[in-house]
Amino acid sequence: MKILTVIRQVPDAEARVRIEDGEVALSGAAWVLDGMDEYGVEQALRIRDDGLDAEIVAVALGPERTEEALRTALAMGADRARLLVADEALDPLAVAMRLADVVREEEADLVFVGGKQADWDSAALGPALAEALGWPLSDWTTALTLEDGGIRTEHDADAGSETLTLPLPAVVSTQQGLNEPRYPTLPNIMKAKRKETRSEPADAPASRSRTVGRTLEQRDRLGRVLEGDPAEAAGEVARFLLEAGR
Amino acid sequence: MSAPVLVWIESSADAPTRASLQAVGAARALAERAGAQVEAVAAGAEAAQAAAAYVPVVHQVDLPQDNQETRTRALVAALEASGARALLLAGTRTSQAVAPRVALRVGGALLEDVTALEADADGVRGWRLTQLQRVSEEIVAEATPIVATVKIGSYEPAEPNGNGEVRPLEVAFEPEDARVAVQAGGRPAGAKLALEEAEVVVAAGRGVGSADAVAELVEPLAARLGGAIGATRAVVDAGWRPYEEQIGQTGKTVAPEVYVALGISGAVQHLSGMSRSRRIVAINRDADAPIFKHCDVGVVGDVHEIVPALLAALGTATTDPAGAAVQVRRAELADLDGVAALEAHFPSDRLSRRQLRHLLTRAHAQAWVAEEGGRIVGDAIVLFRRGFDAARLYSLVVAPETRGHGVGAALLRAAERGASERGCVSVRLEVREDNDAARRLYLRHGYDVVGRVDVYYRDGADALRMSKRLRGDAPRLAGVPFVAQTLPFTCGPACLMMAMRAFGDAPWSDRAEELALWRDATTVYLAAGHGGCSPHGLAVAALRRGHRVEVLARDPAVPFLDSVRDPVKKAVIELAHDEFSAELKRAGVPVRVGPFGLPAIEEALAAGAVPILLVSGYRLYAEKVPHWVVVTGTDDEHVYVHDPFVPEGAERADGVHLPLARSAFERVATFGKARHRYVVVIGPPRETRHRDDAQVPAR
Repeated sequence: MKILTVIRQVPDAEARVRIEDGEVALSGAAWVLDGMDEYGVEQALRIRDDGLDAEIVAVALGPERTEEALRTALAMGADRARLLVADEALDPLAVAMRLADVVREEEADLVFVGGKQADWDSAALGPALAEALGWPLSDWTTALTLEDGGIRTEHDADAGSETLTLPLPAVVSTQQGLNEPRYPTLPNIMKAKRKETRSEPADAPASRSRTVGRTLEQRDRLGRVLEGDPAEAAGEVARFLLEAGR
Repeated sequence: MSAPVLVWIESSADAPTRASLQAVGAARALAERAGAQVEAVAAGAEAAQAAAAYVPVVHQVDLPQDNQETRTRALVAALEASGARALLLAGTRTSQAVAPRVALRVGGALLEDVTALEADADGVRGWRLTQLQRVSEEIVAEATPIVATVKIGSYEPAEPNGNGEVRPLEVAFEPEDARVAVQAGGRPAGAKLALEEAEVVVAAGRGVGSADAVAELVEPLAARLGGAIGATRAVVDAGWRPYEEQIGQTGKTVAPEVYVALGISGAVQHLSGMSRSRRIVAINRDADAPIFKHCDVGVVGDVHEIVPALLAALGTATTDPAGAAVQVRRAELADLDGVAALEAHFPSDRLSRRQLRHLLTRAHAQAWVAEEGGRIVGDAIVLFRRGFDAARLYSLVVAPETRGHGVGAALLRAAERGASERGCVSVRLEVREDNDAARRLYLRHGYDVVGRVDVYYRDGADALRMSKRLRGDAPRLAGVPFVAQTLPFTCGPACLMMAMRAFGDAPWSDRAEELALWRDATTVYLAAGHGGCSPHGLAVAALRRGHRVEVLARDPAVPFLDSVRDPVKKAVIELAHDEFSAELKRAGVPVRVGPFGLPAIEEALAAGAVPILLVSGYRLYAEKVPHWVVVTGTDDEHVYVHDPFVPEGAERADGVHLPLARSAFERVATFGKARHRYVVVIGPPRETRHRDDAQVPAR
C-alpha cells in the first residue's frame, strides 16, 4: 500500500500579523508544518505501525523553505518526500490539479490532506484533490479504520457526525480528534536528514483567482471591562444582553 | 438581461436554512449590480417550493442520495441549464466541500468563504479572511463561472419577496456518486439549533473548570438566552463537550448576534472562530486575558460567581434599547382595545373584538400582554383543554416598532410559565412558514417542528406545526393515525378507525366507514339522541373486520342500560347487548369482567395492542355522555390519548396525544354513578383473514 500525505508550511499562529506593501508581513514568524496536516502523517504511520506494509510519501507544493516542513514529516516517520517548488501563491484548484498528477504517478492508494489550511483559512484542497482524481472523499475525518478494500471513517457533518464507508483509492481530509500526532525524537530527526527528498519545479496549471489586496481585519469593540462587585457587574452585563434583544 | 446568479439552497425541515438565506442575500446584491436575476437550486419538491418564496425561478433537483457528489453533479447540471455565470453557496462545511468540486468540474473560479462580493466591468471580486481571520484579502476571479461560498453571518438573510416558478431539472447521476455510503452509528444532528445558525452562542473555556460546571453554568445561561453552546479546544480535548461544539481554527466559525465567552482566555486560534460576532461578552478571572481586547463588555471575575448573578439579573426585568421597561402581565378585559389594535399586524386570520373578548375572559384561555410605557406592545394567548395537561399557543404578536427588543421572547416565557403552572407538559403552536422571525424565536426556545400544514391560513399561507415539551422527557407513544369523529355519536367508530389504521388497515371512506362501524356497534338508544357504541358493540365491529379484540369490563352490567329510563329503550339496549355477547362468544373473543386499572392498559400497550377507553364526557366536556378515546401511551405522570372529539374552535392537532394526569385517571376513566369502566383492546388482524382474502376471486 502506498500512502501520500500532503504537507503545507504555515507561519506559527503566535506570529504577529502586519501588512507591508499589500503583502502579509510576519515579523519573526517561525514556519511550521501545519497542525492539520500532522494528523494525516500520524494516521499514515499508525496504519503502518498496525502491521500493514505501507510506504509513506510526504508531498508539498510551495517555496524552497517548505522543505523544512517535509523534514518534520520525515522525522515523524514518513519514508520519503517530494517537493514541488512554486514561489508564487496558487489557488487550491491549481494545487489540487498538480498534486493529482503526483498521486497518479506514485500510484497511491490513500491520500491524507489537512482539513483546513491555517494561513489561507481554506478547506478547499481536500475536496478539490478528490475531484481532480475522481476519487471518493471523507472530509473532516475524526476516526479511520481499514476494512476489506476500503475504509470506514467517522466524519463531522455540519451538525452531528456520520459513519462513512468508501472504497480505496480515496482522499481523507483530517482534523483534530483523529489522533494525537507524535513528536519527532532526536534520533529520528537525525535519520530524517538522510531520507530522500526529491525537489522539482511545480510547473502547475494557472490559478483561476488572484489576490490583489490585503488589509488588516479590525473590528471596533466597546471594550468596556468591569471589575469589582460581581452583582453590579452582572447587572451591567444583563442590561447589555437585554438591550441586544435577549 | 444578463446571465442569472444561481444560489444553492440548503434546507432544514424543508425550509431554507438561515445560512442559505444569507447566500440568497449575497446573490441578490450581486445580481442587482449586474442587472441579472437570482435563480435557486433546491433538492426535493417541498424545499423547492419553500425556496420559491425568495427567488423567481427554482431549479428543483431530486438527489438519489444526499452527498457531496450528488450535490456536485446537480449543481453542475443547474449551471448548464440556467446559463448562470455565478453560483453561490452558504459557507457551511458541506457546501465548502461541494464548491471546489463544482468549480473544478466546470473550469470556473473558486471564491471561498467570502465576506463580500462585488461585480463590475472587470468581473467579480470577493473578500475573504485569512491568517486566522486577521487579514482581509481581496480576490479577483479570473475564470467563469464563479463558484463562491458566502461566509456565514456576512449578509443579512433574504426576506421572502414573491412566489417563484419551480422547474424540475433532470440530472444524470452516475453510480460512482454513491461510492461514499453513510452507515448507521453516527451522532445524530439532534433537534438543537446548529451552532452556526444560532443567534446567541454561550461558549465555555477551560476557566469554567469542569464538565459539571459547564452543565451548571453554561447550559442554563444558553437556555435563558435561547442560544447554542460552544467550547474551546481545551474544553473539547478535556472531554467536557463534544467536538461538534468546538469553535476556532480547528473547529467551527460562528458569527452570532451575541457571543458570550465564559472562562475563555482568547487565544488567536479561538478568536479566529468567533471574532466576527456582532457583540462579544467575556467573563474571565484573568484581567490580562487577550479576550478583553476583543470584547464589547467584559467582566473580570470568577464565572462561578458572575454567571449565577447574571442569571438572576436576567430573570428580573426586560428592557428595550431606549431603557423603558417592558412588563409582561396577565391580560384583563380592560386591555381589549390594546389587544384588538395589535391584530392589525397579522397578515391574515385576525381575531375580531368579540373573539378576543371571549378569549380574555375564558377560563380555558390565558392571555398575556407586554406593556411599555403604558402602551400594549404585544400579546400572547394560550388555550387549554379541560381535563388535559396540554397547552396551545394560539396567538403571539409583537408591535413591529418594538420587534427585536425581546418582547416576543418575554411573552413566550410568560406563556410557558403560565402553562407549566397549570400542570401542562407541552405547548404546541402553528406558525406561518414564511414568518422567519417567529419561526426562529420558537426554534431558539426549544420548539421542534413536528409537522407542516398546507394552506393553513385564510390567505393560503402554509403553517409549520411546532411543539415543545415543558418538562421531563418526551414519552414513547404509539404511532396511531388520528381520526376525528364527524357526528356527535360516533366517537367509538372514530376510535376504532384509529386503532385499525394503526395496524395498517387502509382507509376507504371516512364518513361511510364511520357509519358502517356505528351500525355494527350501536346500542340504538342512549339517554338522548342516537345510541352510542358499547364496548361489546365495538368489539363486534372490530371482530367483523378481522381484528383480534378483547373486552375489559369492571362489572357485568349491560353497558349504558342505567342511562335510560324508558322501558322500551331499556329492552332494545338489552337485546342489542345480548346479540353482541353471543357473537363475541361464538368467535371466542375474551370478555374479562372484574376490577382493573391502568396496569391492564399499560400491559396491552406493551403488547403492541391499541386500547380504546371509555371516559366520562362529564369530566371532559361537562356533558353526561359516555365518550371513547384511544390510549397511545403512558409515562410517570400522564396517560396520553387521542380524543376524536374536536371542539368548536379547536383543530385535529388538539386531539392528538393529549396528556391526562394519572391522578385524574380514576375519576375520568369511569362512566355513571355506578362507576362502570370499559376498555376494548384492539389487536392486529387475525392471520386467517389474509388467507380468506386470498380466496376471494378476482372480479
